[in-house]
Amino acid sequence: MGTVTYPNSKVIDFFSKRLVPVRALINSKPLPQRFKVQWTPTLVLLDDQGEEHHRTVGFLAPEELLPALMLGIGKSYFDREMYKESEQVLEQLLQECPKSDAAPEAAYYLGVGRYKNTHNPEELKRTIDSLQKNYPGSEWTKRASVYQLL
Amino acid sequence: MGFNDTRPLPESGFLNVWNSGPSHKKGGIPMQIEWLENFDSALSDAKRAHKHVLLDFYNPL
Repeated sequence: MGTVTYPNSKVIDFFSKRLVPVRALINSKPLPQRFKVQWTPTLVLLDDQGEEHHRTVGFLAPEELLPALMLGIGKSYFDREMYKESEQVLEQLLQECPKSDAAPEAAYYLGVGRYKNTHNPEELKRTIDSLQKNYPGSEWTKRASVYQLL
Repeated sequence: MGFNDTRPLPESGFLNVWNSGPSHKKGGIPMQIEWLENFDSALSDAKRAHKHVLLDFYNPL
């Protein structure tokens, strides 16, 4: 990550605007034990209370790291019922990185978040329609398949 | 890991700034990621700035 991803200007800019980054050696104490980290590189995204909402394991190139981080931030807002904030960052992810590995999961959470915010089941139908159209082979499309029955 | 820092690592396992040179900004735009050293400070900064904390666990080998 250090030689390829972190020097990338878009990554630097994103970190500067959205994150407070901390690095820890895998064999240090107490963070690896506290967050049950066994392999490197592992990235763990926390809210400002120190609660974990997303993690990745393994190398990520810049074009995958940024959507992965946006997904994590979106899920962080979703977990805390901040649906408008979640929608905003997940929409940005899908607009800027529609072919990224994180995109199908982002589309799933975007739709579910809209449903949670509006209580309108049409949002779930729109979610499965969008997933089937854009990410037909994704596991997230399979996970949303039941919404076809609504 | 992409840098030639030969300083001994602190007991805490944290590095102050992960880079091969001094941190600087060009025209107000950051030129590299500035990694924090202290987790509790990072949480305080995140609260103040309405940001998320990213923990990067790594192996220097």
